[in-house]
Amino acid sequence: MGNSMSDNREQAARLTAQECSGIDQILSHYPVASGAAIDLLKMIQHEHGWVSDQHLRALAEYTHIPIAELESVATFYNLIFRKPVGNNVLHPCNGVSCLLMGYRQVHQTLTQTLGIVDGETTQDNAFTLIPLPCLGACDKAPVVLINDQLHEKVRPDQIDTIIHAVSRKAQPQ
Amino acid sequence: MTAEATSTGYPLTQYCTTDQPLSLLEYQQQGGYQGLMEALEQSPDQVLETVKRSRLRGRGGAGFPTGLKWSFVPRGEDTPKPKYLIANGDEMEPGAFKDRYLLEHAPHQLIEGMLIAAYAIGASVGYIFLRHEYSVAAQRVNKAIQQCYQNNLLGSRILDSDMTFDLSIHTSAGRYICGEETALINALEGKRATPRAKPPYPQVAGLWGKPTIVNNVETLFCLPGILCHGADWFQQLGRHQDSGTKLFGVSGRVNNPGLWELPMGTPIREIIEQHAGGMRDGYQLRGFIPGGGSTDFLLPEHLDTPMDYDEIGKTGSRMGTGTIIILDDRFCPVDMAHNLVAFFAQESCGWCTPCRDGLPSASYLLEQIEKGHGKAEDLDYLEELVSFVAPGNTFCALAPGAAEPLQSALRYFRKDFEQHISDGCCPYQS
Repeated sequence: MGNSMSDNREQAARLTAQECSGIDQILSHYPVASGAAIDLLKMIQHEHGWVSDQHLRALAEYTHIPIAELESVATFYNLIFRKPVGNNVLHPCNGVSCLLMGYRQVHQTLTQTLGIVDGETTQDNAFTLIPLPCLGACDKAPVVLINDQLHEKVRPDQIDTIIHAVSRKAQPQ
Repeated sequence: MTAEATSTGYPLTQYCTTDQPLSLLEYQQQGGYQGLMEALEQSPDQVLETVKRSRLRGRGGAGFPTGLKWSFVPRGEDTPKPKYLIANGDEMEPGAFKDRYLLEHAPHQLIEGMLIAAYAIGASVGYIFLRHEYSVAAQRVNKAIQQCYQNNLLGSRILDSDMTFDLSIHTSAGRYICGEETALINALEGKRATPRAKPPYPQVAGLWGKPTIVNNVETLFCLPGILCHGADWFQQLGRHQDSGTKLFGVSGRVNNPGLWELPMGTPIREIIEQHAGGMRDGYQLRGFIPGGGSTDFLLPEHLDTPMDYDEIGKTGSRMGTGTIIILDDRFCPVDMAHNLVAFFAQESCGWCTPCRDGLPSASYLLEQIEKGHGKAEDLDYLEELVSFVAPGNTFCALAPGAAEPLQSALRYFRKDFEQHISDGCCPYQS
């Protein structure tokens, strides 16, 4: 995104041809355009990591879904990010079974190792920390979800290794 | 899953034999899609009647009779079309991990169950609503859907019958409230997932205003067996009043946390002591939550209760999802109650005042008590908040569900609350 773009919050981002055809395809699955709101926001997030004001406006202009409607949906669902996140989002599970089995120790080690609190991103943009409730693996508690991979029965002394493995994996891209 | 497993005694998990799910061909070779073929030879009304007679009750938590729910869908030629069938795979109940297992291990059984349900209610379009985090399940179910389209099991003229059924996945973008059926329908319509006022009920006017049935994944998994072996067979699977088998789970400080398919009516003691291997060395059973985070705590004196909807109801709790969470004697009950109430407070959609404002207040007070900053009158205020969010004061069951662990913790672990307040600290953190 160029500087002129971020200077002007009102201006819409330019959608790529690929994004436009992706949007058309999603819209074709729904009887009314607004039905596609969640899928469209997820698509933008998949491309850009998060949903910026400029992209929200671009989506509204392209689909004719009112921007307020898109924003109301974007701010409701906790896995649609309206702020930038790092390359890897760490989701330690803070559900009750993980709490019983040592979530606090895992969480504390994560914050200490990364030097961030919940919702923050590390300075090198590698990690964002967002605890999520109950990831549905309670018999393997405590668990941490990182980039679609579930780490089970996590011990605090494994955090360092896990984080290093994730950053190594992420680097080649 | 256990040594004595037979193909008909474990109808939910009989195909969950390997890490990877069976392909369509393998599933068919082992008897898969025979329930569907059985259904297609009957009329939709006959299928409905069989499911009613089986006394199958919804496995998502509420336990509503499945056949009765289906029977509210308008029938006949001049009724609104299309009708929709939705599989609820938005599993996010704290302590519940059963639907994930089924979705990842036997996606074809879900599709077969959906086809049977769709045939009975006349639905031509289906959605599988999955939570975003269940990406492995989404991949596997999508693959199974493709296999079905390639083999005349989805689309039009299914298995050369008159049946048409199109099926796709919707992956959610988070929020527990999406599991509530009317909120789920709003989410599918691309809106904020707030519950709808009822009536009209979704069976009459649901997705896009059309008749819609929402069934839990595990409920749909029961259907192929019922069609293959009959309603009487399904009834006889239960050990007490309720029919069929169920996935029961245990998490917490037990020797062998996990998930087992067992007859309905299996005593809680058997599940915790035999299947979960009892408490770990150094830990005692203090209490437990029988069916996920929105059910009341129970005590060791309730261990001999059968896991039956009505029997658990008599103890003052609920069967819920059938996934038990263990409170051991070294973990603070106030802390556990706070975690649950904080979860529900966070996940409130904000639609109804008692839930939106009441739950954060309760969560705040519990946090203060846990930290040793509580006052004696806080307990009265918590009791008041419990009545504030009682059923009938909100559109959906989220807030009443949050009240269940709180009210029972206040009742059963009262001395712990009082000690936190009198000592000015948590006695478990020394």
